[in-house]
Amino acid sequence: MEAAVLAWSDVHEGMFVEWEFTVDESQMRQFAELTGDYAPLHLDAEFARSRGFAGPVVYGALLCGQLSRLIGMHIPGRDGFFIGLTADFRRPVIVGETVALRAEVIQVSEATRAIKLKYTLRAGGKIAVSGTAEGVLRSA
Amino acid sequence: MDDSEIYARLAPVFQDVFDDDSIIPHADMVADDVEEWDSLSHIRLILALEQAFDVRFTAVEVGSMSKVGDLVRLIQAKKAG
Repeated sequence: MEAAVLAWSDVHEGMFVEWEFTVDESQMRQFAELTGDYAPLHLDAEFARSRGFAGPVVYGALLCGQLSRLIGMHIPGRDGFFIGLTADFRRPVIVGETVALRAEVIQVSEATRAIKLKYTLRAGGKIAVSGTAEGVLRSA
Repeated sequence: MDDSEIYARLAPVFQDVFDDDSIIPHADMVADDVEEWDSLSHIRLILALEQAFDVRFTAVEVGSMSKVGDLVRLIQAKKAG
């Protein structure tokens, strides 16, 4: 997979990207090892069910990892970098659920070449995470 | 839009971008006066200001601003135009 190469003139309000993904147990274990977060809510199905969830809850930060893909691979892509994000966690995502990401450009700043996107992550058709992500496009 | 109204609307933007509720923008304030005001936060500030005031700046305009007073005059001119 190669990162998108965008010129500033390619970027406009209203452009969007979307994709689906699923987080599996192996990815959850890798995330735990990378971050040191071994909270049983995320790794132990029995524990998660005892707390009222249908299964282990996907790490919120792992979901937000898709925003790195958004900025680095799509908009702004290869010649961009991340400068900010907000995230509101509205409902849990259970390991194995399909998650749909949609991100749309809502602001472009000619002066700074900054791009602001609004995104949602939906599971079961409902918003699980929403917020904004900001990147800058700096072509060579 | 007069100066006082602009400064009143600037304050929460500065406070949010620089994560400092004590910042009160004034005409002579420059980037060196704010510890967190670096090149990346400057981009975030411009983006936030464009959204807050519903204006768009050019690179030349942003490059010509040296203090907050310049920014206020620019916003005033854009809102008047």
